Amino acid sequence: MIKIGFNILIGGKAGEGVDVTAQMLAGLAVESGWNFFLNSELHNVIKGYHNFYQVNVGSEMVLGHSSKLDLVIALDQETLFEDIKRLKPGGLVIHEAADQLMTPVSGIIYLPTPLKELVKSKGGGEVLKNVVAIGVAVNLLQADLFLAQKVVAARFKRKGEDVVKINLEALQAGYEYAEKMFFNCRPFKLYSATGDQKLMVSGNTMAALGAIKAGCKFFSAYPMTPSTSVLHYLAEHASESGMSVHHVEDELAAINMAIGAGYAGARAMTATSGGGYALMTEAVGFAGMAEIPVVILEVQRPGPSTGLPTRTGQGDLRQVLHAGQGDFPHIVLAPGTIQEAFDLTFEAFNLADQYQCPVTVLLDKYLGESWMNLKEPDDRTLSIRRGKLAADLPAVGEYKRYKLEADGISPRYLPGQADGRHIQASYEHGEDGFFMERPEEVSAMNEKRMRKIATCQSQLPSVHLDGSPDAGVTLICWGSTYGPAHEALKILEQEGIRANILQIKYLNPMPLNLQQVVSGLKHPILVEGNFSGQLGGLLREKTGLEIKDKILDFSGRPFAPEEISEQVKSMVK
Amino acid sequence: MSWLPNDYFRDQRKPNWCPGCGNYATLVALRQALCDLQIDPASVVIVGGIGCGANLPYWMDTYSLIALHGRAIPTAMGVKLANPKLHVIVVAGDGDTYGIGLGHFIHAIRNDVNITLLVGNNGVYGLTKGQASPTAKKGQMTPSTPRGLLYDPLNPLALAITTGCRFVARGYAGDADQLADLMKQAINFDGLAYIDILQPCVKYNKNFGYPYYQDRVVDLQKTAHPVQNRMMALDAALRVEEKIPTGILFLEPK
Repeated sequence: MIKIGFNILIGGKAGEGVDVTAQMLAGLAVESGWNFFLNSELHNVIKGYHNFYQVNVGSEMVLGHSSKLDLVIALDQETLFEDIKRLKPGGLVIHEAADQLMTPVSGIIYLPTPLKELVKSKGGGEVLKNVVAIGVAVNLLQADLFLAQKVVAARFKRKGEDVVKINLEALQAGYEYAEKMFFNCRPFKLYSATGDQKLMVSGNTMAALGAIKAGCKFFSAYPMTPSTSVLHYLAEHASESGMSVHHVEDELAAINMAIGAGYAGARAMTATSGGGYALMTEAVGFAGMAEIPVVILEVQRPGPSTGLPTRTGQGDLRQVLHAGQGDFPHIVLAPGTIQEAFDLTFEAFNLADQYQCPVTVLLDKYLGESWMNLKEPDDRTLSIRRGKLAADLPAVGEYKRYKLEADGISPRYLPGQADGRHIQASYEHGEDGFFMERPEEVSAMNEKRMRKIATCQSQLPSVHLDGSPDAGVTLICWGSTYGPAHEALKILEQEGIRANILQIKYLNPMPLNLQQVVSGLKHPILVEGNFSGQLGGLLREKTGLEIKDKILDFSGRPFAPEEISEQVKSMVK
Repeated sequence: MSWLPNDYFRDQRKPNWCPGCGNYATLVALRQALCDLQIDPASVVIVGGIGCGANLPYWMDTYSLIALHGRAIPTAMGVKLANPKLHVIVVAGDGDTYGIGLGHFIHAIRNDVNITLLVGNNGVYGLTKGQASPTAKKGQMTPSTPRGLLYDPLNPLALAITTGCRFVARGYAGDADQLADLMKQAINFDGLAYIDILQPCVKYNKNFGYPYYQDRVVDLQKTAHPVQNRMMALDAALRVEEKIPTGILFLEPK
């Protein structure tokens, strides 16, 4: 099958239902057996400012957005002035007929539609104009109207029959208008396909699902964009999942409560963004020192300080890696795709339990708040590892909570268990947990804790090059940058440049074979969403690899594949 | 089996408090209370903050957790919410609870999670050598307030009552029997039970030693104080100068 696809942008003011429009078009793609990747660019306001959503629709799985557009639905003037500049030649723009056009952009096709009038003719309010626009789009895409009706009806079902009815009429009105007026303008065909990835999820949803599937029973958090949807999802599904979910007074409470729950034996998690993580850092060290499992989701937004709450960035890698005073074991993971947000969050709970330490999973707004369609997670492939629980192991002599084990992992009793009364503390301690300041024992206890990182490293999956192993160019990335880099490979291939990707998912510890892999790279290019090339510095520290060519973006926006491929081309010449 | 007081006491370890420290009374009273209630020490989690008194979990042979300064309350809440069968007791000081951790104090009361909160209140930061705590008196001279503290103390009991705490009590380190009795009621209480414990710091707050309190404390339970009357409780909480009420100020069963 030939890979085809098209990229739709819906622009409008916050509060105009731009998100709902995008979700319904994405839903239509999925109902039609296709795939999508949906991302958003929002202002940090509730109402009034210009926002846009992009739905990149493909016959094959799509892992990122594209900066080039095929179809624009303009619900406000700014979309007409700005966003249509990214339309490909011959691209279409559906807009309110009454809206004024500045200087028309040449080479694109304007499809003026009396959205408000059509709504009025059906007796609906202006708020329905986006559904009329969907009707027009459904017609242009040659999609199945019945499937579109199904998607619209499902979306408004909760609001009652009347609301469903008026929305369906608005959809029909748009569809018929396009049928009559734009019949000679049909570059697309969203034919019925057999794709079976029907689960529409965001990265944050998948991280939350990963936690649920991992048996996480305790979640405490303080709202912070763009991590908040994790809290919302887990709160909404708390009764089915049996999770104790708490919106608490601040991030200090959030992480310390999760640590308390982890100490008591529950799998526990908190979620935040960079600012909240900064507040949590002392407690990350507490979990490291007292050896208590806890999982922290850090959904990055651009800093410093309050920064850009609704935009994306990868500036927190160093903050997370260096969180807390002193040296202590802290495992840091970074999913690169929405699927991996599930996989690695699930795995984070295993690692936290096995190594009795904090595990941070780094997402960002682009990964956390973008949506795509995936298969339902397959429970049969998931296994839960709770680590060394003393109650399950044969007793050896007097119980010591911090016994100096060769692998660094001391079996733990959980409070309530009869034979395991002990001390755990944020103070330095001896094997029995009691405070202790003797120099040799302090050193031994530090070494014991840090041995856990060596043990963990020896058990990590190997890193491998994604794509042709002997390609001349290697894009090095972490986190959400993987998606656009992956899409960029396809563009580069069309232009005769063979590239592959080195994606680092385990940032601390790093896989043992990393050194070997990087030493064989012909032309490494760093692709990272921060100013200082934080991963680049880390790789240099850990492997000695010095990367000369860097593609860095700290504009608060995700990389578009086209931007990466353009820059790679200029670096390869 | 039945539990003896020594079953709660970690052997061969002696507390590292100064001779005469008010914390000894808290330790003895807690041990007595748990023993009187015959609570299995393996079902007890004592969570300490950071401070002299917050080291108390070290000397108890229970599950003992020393958390971060100011964060004993949320840590303890996590323990309790994760395993409600456990008896969870917080031991923290006035700096820990009314200073750096004040937000948690208020929100834990709102949450009304079923934990026991014991706050050793001596008006100073003992472990950092005597700076004024949030309950230090106006004018008090300490290393951090060499010309005298400029403002009035926090009234934690009044704060607890107005925040909706359903078990508000004040103990005194000079009366371990009363303290043990308050602790028993607090541990048995269904909800957050809070005891502020007046305890002299014999090293850094000598103006407010045993002689100061000895003449002022009045056991409310030996008066006609109606414990279920919130306004009367608030009235008692606001009386802090001539006579200092101890015992249960306010009790609101579920």
